[in-house]
Amino acid sequence: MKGYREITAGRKPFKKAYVAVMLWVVGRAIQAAGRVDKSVKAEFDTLPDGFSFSLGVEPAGPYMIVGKNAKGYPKYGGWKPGGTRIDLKIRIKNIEAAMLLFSFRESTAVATARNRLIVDGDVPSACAVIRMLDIVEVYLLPRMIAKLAVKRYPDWTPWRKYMGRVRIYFRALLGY
Amino acid sequence: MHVPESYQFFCPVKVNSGSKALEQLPSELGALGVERPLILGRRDALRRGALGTIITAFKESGMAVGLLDAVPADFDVTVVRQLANVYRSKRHDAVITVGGGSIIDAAKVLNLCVSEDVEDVMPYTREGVLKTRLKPFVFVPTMTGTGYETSKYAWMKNLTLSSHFLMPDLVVIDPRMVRGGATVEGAALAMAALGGAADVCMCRVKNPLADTYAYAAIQYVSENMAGAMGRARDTMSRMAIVNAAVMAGCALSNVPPGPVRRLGTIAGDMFRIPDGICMGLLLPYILDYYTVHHGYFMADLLLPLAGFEEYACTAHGLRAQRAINRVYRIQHELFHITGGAIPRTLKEAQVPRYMLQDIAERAVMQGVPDIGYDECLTLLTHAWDSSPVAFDEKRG
Repeated sequence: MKGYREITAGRKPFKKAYVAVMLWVVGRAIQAAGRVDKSVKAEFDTLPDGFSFSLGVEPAGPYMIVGKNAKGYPKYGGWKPGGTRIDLKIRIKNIEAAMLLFSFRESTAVATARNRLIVDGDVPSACAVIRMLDIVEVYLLPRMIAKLAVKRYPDWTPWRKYMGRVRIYFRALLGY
Repeated sequence: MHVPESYQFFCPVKVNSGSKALEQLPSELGALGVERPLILGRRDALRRGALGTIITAFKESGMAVGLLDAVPADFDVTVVRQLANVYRSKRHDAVITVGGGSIIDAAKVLNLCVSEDVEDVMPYTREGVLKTRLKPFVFVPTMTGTGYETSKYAWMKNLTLSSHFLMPDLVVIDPRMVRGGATVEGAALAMAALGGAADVCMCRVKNPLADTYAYAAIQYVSENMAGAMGRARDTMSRMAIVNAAVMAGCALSNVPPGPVRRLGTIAGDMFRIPDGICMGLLLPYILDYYTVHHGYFMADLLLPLAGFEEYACTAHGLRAQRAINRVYRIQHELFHITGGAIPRTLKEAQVPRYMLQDIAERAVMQGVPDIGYDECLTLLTHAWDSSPVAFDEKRG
């Protein structure tokens, strides 16, 4: 019939790369925050031993995997979910939703309310992960941006915030 | 509140409305088991770039989509057959329609043909023949349409198909798709939504669930008409109008056809005026007439039209008249916003007075609830020369 054409869905490489970098930074920052911040450690302690979770974008990634190591600390497990046992999968429905989230135009709570996330696993564990992500975002981002990304900006002492920020950035970059 | 003795309500339509809603389409289709959707649209009737926005939404989804952007506005059995051939030969498994109007009727008929594997749709003109769900069907509305897009009806030439299974499974309302478009088309959609919802509210056999949809539709139109049609063309107001049209369509599928729809469609078809414009200009006179002669449920219309405060401040006996005045006000606002492009009376719409009898005859033939030929003609005469029905009755 006149006017018919078939289109193969294209790609969004730049957006995908941006989200991949953000997930890498957040994953390493969670690992660092587990050793620096007591509240992140406390949240992680509530999760079962050997627990691991992934945060990623549907349908083909990128992903971020974080697990609990033998000592009970968070450990960044890379960006490939294949072959790893994952107890909790938090999936962002599409790359545009991930961009809204990681460009801080939408907070995690708003993204959840707008049905942009799928949780596959234990809901209380997912809530703990989201709380950890909020704390990490407060450490990583300046107040003006972090206020857009988290539900409530916490009232921390400057010592905790700025020293924690330096230590988390340092540890995240070095990966320990 | 009116409690019906018995009623049925069915609405299989899922609505996904909001920023970046189109980007969720691939995952929604995935949930419906779709791998190769066929997108139907009319390039000439859509804003430039509208189809591109949908195609872009499929990026990273891994899906292959078919696009047919030259579906004729005046379609017939031959066109549907050609569409079905494309659908089958290219192994598509769902239809996505962009924009309202005749194209959605074509998509509904196409979906019926490919799902039931038939060429002739004549047997399906009787309600109840269709017994199973059809293949996935998605509707992406724009600021054009008749307000019937999400309803259970489909029209092809002189055939009317009616089944709840013809309703779309999913409606995706995205702000990028409601921008642009002619003011008259937008106004027609808004007034079609208002007229259709008013029909639902004043129906003798209405039900509370249809009422809920209709009240929300009326409130959306009443509160957002000026914002959507004015110079600013506020996107959120336009989203509200499109949402109202979607809700009105769902509600209309659950009550018998009312006088606003019936008379508006007949006058629109006869004089090549958008149905919604005709419904809008007839609406206050029909409400006025039914208030004077029948009166049922008219007072309730004030609540969605004017809000809680005005409703609470108005004595029960005055509410119906206040509601009608509100509709007159909307009509006049629209007239001024569009610089007179939207008529307020049949006379302004260039309908000759001697043709009113023909409209009345056709309306009576098709059936208008509770009124006969004489009443229909009286009502149309009022709508022609803009004389309020209540005033005339008191004077008489």
